[in-house]
Amino acid sequence: MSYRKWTIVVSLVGALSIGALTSGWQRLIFRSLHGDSLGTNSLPKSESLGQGLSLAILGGYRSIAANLIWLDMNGSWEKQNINETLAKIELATATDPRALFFWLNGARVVANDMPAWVIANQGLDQEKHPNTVKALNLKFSEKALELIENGLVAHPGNFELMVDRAVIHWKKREDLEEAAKSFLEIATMPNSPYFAGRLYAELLVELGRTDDALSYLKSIYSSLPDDDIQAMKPFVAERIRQLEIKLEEQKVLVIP
Amino acid sequence: MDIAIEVKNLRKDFVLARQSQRLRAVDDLSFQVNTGSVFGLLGPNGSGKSTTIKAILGMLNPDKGECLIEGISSKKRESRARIGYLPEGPYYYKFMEGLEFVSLVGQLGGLTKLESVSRGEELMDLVGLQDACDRRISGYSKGMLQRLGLAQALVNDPSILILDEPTAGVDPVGAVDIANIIGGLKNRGKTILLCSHLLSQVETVCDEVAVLNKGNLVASGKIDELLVAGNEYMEIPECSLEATQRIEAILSEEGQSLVKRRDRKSLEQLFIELTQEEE
Amino acid sequence: MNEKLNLSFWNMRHAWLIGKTSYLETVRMKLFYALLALSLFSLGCSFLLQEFNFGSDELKFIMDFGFGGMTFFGSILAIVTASQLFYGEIEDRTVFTILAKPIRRSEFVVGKFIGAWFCIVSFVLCLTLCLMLSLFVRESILMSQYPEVFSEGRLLNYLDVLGFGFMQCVRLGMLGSIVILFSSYATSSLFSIIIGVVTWILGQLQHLAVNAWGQYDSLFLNTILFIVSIALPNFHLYDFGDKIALGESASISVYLQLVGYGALYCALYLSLAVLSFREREL
Ligand SMILES: Nc1ncnc2c1ncn2[C@@H]1O[C@H](COP(=O)(O)OP(=O)(O)O)[C@@H](O)[C@H]1O
Ligand SMILES: [Mg+2]
Repeated sequence: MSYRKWTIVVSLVGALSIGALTSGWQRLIFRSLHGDSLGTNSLPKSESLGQGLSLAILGGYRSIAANLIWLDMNGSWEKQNINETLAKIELATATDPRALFFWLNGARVVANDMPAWVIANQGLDQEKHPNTVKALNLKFSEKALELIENGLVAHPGNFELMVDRAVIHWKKREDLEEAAKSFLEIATMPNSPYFAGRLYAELLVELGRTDDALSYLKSIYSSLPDDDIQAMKPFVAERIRQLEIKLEEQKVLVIP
Repeated sequence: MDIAIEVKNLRKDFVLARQSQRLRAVDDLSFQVNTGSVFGLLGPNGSGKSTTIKAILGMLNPDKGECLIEGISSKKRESRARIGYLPEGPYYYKFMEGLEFVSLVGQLGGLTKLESVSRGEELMDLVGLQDACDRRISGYSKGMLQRLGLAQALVNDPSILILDEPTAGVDPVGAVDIANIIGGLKNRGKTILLCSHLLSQVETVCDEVAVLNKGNLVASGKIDELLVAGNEYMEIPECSLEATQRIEAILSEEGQSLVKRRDRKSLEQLFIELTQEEE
Repeated sequence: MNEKLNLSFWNMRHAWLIGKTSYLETVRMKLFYALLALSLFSLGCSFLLQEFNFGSDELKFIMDFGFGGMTFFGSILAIVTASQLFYGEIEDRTVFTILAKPIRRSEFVVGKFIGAWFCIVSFVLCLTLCLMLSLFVRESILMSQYPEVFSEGRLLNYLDVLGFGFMQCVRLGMLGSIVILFSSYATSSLFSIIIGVVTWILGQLQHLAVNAWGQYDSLFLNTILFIVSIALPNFHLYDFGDKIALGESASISVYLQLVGYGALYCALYLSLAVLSFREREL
């Protein structure tokens, strides 16, 4: 073997053995810097590759690149070009996944604006074509939810994204079960906004599970702070009273 | 007599990039350079002169044979401790100033900064670059670069000088200057190995030469021995026309005649005379 | 005798002289100033483009520009200077004069690394100081506009900005030493530059490969991912700018570990470069 080939082999062996020796160490450093959230990157998705690439090539400039893409997206949005808008939203979020703004507003554009564009373009009427409109809403909701799920990978446990997810289930997909589940998930997380719990209860009422709603409100009532206006403790108390009355009336109705 | 440089059965092959063919640049070359002498390695372009020199300096690994400097193998770094080298080319750090560069080489050879600067100034003077000390090397002409190369080769006061084409690209006046400097160094007892394809320039300074062709040694020895005389001519001194006619008559009896020739200055000589009058 | 002494030991002075000269070369290079000017220009733009900063706060926006210059232009600088200093010297044939002196090839390699690294440090230091100044000015303006947000004093930890800058020097130093290693094998500077860019990108993606290998069915893909995840250093470790933008700081221990990790890799690559350069014909 020539000296040159020999050194190539030695180099490979050297790089591999140092890499093997330090692989535990680098994970340790990573964890102490970023915690577990980013270190245990989920599955090998094409998105995480895209994010890694943009970080590798652009470094800190990727947020600027993402902003430029987003500006460009506004042009497609004005033209109501669905494919272009969607592609640019995905590109912007992939380029700089750290910006919550892109995920949140992207999902809203997809869920709200896009079906509206189609309805307007095709001259559809909610009254005359309820099924078509519903199908459209369902279709774009799927896309928006996908975006939010990816956003949650970059921003684990972000309330704003989770609330948008619940709202899409509720208003767009009209799937109250899923919406209720989503709000409950938010409500059970520490430091989450108080309205999530109240909305969960209201959705249970809508679903006809008044007794579940009542027991849920009762269970959280005591933990609500008195001095925080956001908690709306008096409102909850009033709602508990109303639901109790409603349940009584139902019982009365059932007995005869 | 001591041997300064010894090349023994040197062979060097280059692998050519495209074909898996090999090019034998130097083939079984042996010669010795005695301490204190000027040795010329001559040959046309591509005959293997620079390759030989790089092998002597340990920059190439011989495929066969070896090179020794004062008895130390070229493979060892120590062999280069007392050598000054003027590379073929010449290529130096363009971003540096002349004196700055000579001083750097001096420091790499073990001088202190102060020593290297004062030594550098002396040498820039010697090679006629005193006015260009603090000019960037990127602005040097080819002739100036050769002079700079000579200065950096001399900065560590080496006992052995290896000069690869010291006069390439230099005008005839400059070449004479350089030849004079080399002559001066020889008088100070330095050993000099120089190579060139311009034979006339080398002739005046070399004690011994080796002639290479396509990597093979074709001739070597003392320069006087090598320059074997051609036809022998007799000269007729200035004399009367009558005398000349009588000589011609005698010659014609034997069926011969006088060969007339006029001495011709070489263009080089003329150039030197003309430009030196100007100064 | 002094001369003898210098010959028998590894001579730091040789490496230092070569390093100093190489550094001189880089800072007399137009590229250095061009990249510095571009980075500073982009930092200046961050002041002008404030209306573009969707959803991210202004200081982070400025920081993105500063860190962007360090990583984007810094990596270009590191790759090009390391290749120019090392392979360029062979290509330009200036190496003959230097290596005809009784110096070790290892002294040459280390010297070249010193030169390249000092160039990187100068570049990153200039950028870091300008970034800190920009952040300070902007934060002061914001403090006078929104005193309630800054009731507890400044949000940013400027020492960490400096620390981040230094970590970029470590990371770019690793990159430079890899390019020197490739240059020691290379037969053209373009080759070492291209391989340098590829390594830089793969090294940033290394953490993805670590997570991904073993998750595919293809043996070939898994092998490639395994090699990438083991053979390359994790450059992504040094991307903690976001954390600092949030006003969080990294602990001394993390800084020391990052330096240690980088130094280990630099030592590895330079040793391998010496190994291959030692027998290289010029
Ligand atoms: N690095 C190299 N790779 C391939 N061939 C080379 C190399 N160096 C020199 N040669 C070849 O070796 C031969 C001798 O070259 P050289 O020693 O430079 O000649 P000279 O100095 O006598 O003009 C030439 O044919 C040249 O092309
Ligand atoms: Mg030659």
